[in-house]
Amino acid sequence: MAIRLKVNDQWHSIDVKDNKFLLWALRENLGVLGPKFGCGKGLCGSCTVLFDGQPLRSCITLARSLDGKEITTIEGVGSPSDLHPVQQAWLDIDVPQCGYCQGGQILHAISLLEKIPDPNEDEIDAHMGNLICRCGTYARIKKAIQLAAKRMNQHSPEVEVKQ
Amino acid sequence: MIRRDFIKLAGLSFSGLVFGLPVHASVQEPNLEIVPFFSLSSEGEVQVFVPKSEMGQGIHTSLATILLEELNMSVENATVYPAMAEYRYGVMLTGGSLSIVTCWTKFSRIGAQIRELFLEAVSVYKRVPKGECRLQDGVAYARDEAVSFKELIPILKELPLPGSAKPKPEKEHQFIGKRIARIDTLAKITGAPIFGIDVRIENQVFASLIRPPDYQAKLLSWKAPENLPDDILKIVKIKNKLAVLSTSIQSAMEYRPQVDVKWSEIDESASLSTESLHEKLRQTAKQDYGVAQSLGEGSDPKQENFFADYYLPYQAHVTLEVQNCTVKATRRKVEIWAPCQVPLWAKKTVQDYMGLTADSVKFHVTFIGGGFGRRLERDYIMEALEVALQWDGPVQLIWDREEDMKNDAFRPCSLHRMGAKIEKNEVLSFSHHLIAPSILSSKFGSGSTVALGFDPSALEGGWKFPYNFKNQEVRYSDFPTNIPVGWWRSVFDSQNAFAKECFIDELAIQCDLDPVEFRLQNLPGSSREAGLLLEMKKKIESQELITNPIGLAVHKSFGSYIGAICELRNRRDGIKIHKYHIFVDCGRYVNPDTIEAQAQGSVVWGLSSVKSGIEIEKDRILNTNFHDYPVLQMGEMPEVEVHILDTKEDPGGIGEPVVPVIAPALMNAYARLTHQRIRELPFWPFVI
Repeated sequence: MAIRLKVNDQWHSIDVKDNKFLLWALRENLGVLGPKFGCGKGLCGSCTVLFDGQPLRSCITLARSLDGKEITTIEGVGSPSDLHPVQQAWLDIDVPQCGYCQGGQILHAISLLEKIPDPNEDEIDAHMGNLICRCGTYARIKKAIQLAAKRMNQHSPEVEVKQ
Repeated sequence: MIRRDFIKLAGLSFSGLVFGLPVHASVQEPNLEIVPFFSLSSEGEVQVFVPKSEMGQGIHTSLATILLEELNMSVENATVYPAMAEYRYGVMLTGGSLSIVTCWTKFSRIGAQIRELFLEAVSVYKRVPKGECRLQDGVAYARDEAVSFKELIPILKELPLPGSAKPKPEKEHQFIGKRIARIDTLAKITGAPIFGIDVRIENQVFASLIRPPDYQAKLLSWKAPENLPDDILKIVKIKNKLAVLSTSIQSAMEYRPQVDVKWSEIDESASLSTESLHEKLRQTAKQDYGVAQSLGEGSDPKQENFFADYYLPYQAHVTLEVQNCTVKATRRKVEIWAPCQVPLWAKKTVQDYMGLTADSVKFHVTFIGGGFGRRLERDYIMEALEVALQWDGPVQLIWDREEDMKNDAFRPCSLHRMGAKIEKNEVLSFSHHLIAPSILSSKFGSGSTVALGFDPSALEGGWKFPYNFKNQEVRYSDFPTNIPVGWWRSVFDSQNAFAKECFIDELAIQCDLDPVEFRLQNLPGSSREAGLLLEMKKKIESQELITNPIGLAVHKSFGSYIGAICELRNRRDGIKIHKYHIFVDCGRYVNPDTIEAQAQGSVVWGLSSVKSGIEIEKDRILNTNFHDYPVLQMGEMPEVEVHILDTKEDPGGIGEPVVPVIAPALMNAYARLTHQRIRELPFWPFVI
């Protein structure tokens, strides 16, 4: 069936099967490769996209259910020359190891900070707790979220990274 | 913000992307190759080619830094590429925590040769004595006059590379030993398509495999439906498997159940199940064994008066990027893109299989979404090749998570029979009998271990340790099964350290000694383990820890000496793993930030292996995904504090050696708190 999807501010018309998952529509029909295939069951979060500011697991979401809707992928939140403050914190703390899960982690962090601008540790754990990172970057993810929160709340990108 | 360029992928055909997306700039043809590892572009841009696979350990950053240090140049100012799989790079294995250990001297010597060459070139170009020329931040200087590398290209082409040159003394290092920002972070936080699964070649199709349901099943017959749906292109047989080819990987995966396949029946008597695993290991222990090490009078089990059996399960790698490989193949020419830790071995395997020369097999190494030893296997590469040979055009094979879980090369299961003779609070003899599948003999045939009577690699960390009990004996029995085994982050050290360090704590209790004092009493004072323990002792006796339930472990592996203190909290709702203090003596190091990252990651890895294990029923793996093989998630992550000891010894590895101490430190803490000794994993009563 033909559907229309707005991905990262750009409308696309694509033809997908009824059972096509959003993850594969993005990767195969649109060549948007930021969302990754990790588990296929909505368990790891590598395939996350943002819909209405909320994280959505694209590997278990049918593409047709988003006909006429808008989503944002990791490619859409910031570019190398114009990073989102969360990405900037990620960069300054050198969060990623292999990097495979990081797009999903960043999108979850962005949605957390939109909901709770200054989350405490428990709130971070609750919001980020169902994502999987096999390299074990959790400690740095937490640190980067706290740094991004501080900078965003003070409207100051100059908050220094404590090494 | 410091400007950091995208990692560019040498030769990765992202330029062939059919979707017109913004992707990496394609690599410029190197204008001037000084050595295989180092080129200048026609614009004078420095290009470093790293022959080690980047899987999160920061090796591109570290090795390029070692080379560029000699040119007084930050890695920020160069472009780093993964090297293509070519024999001229020498060893291209990324594993065994060996990259820094084996490449440091080589890369600094190459860097020094390049430095001397460049200084000579400036000297000739500006007619200034070489001693008055220098390099800094990617620019050459003749006295105070700046000369770009681009200007030097014509002279560099004429000058020979000096035969040898001396690397800088350590005190002149500008980058090594200080925090170095990772050069691949920017790509990884902006969703750049750098992984194997992101490779896109024009006209590429996808393949998904139908695999035997258990480790005995043979494909007897198969029949595809008469009319294939539009997006299913072909079904082909490759050895004992079938492949569904499609324009969509989702379609290929979902179509698999439609194919009617007959598999051979299982011989249950020859199969393995978790239920009977421990019994089988015990039976094997009673049969034949090889004595690997005997010190003093050895240790006769009949004379021993204290015993403990430790059981560890099979473990899976479960890399988050599933196994995948892209291949374009004809009978005469093959091109491969793969997340791979052994690209030259894989290339050679492909050459041998096809009867092709090195020039006819082009092998691109992509970034790896989690290695941990899984990509030391070549199974997914050969599968993709065999499928591609039956299709006219490039094929990308992608496994699904369940295939990935069930078709791993698992960390072997093991039984460790520990014994000791204790008299008057003194250990008179000590023995360790390891019963475990041999990775060596399963991969290279029993000939690789038969001559010795044991598998030396299986005993890593379980023998030749510095505890100086007068009489010691280490024994080994192979335990061959149908379950494939392989190298899993820290390999057998993960098992042997668990048994050894838990048993040492048990002996300390038997001898009525504190675990730190017991270890110090039984270690040579000059050993690096003792050095670690003295540092750890200070921490344990500090205000911060003095009243808390803690456990510890020390272990040497991969050239590094690591200590861990695990701190628990006994709360009303249960026991929480509060914090790990990791003590690292890895000798000289390049990037302290990498040490911290690897220590944090190893805590997560080690704890995941306490939480889960592989379950088997009649040669069939039961685990399928993250819900039935749960790994550590954020809420369960303890704090991690890393203490680096500046010992200035020869460099050791860091990717693996922290893993072995994690589980025993936890179980030693748990035993101290609950007076219950856990000798079998998985075991996970801990609260978030």
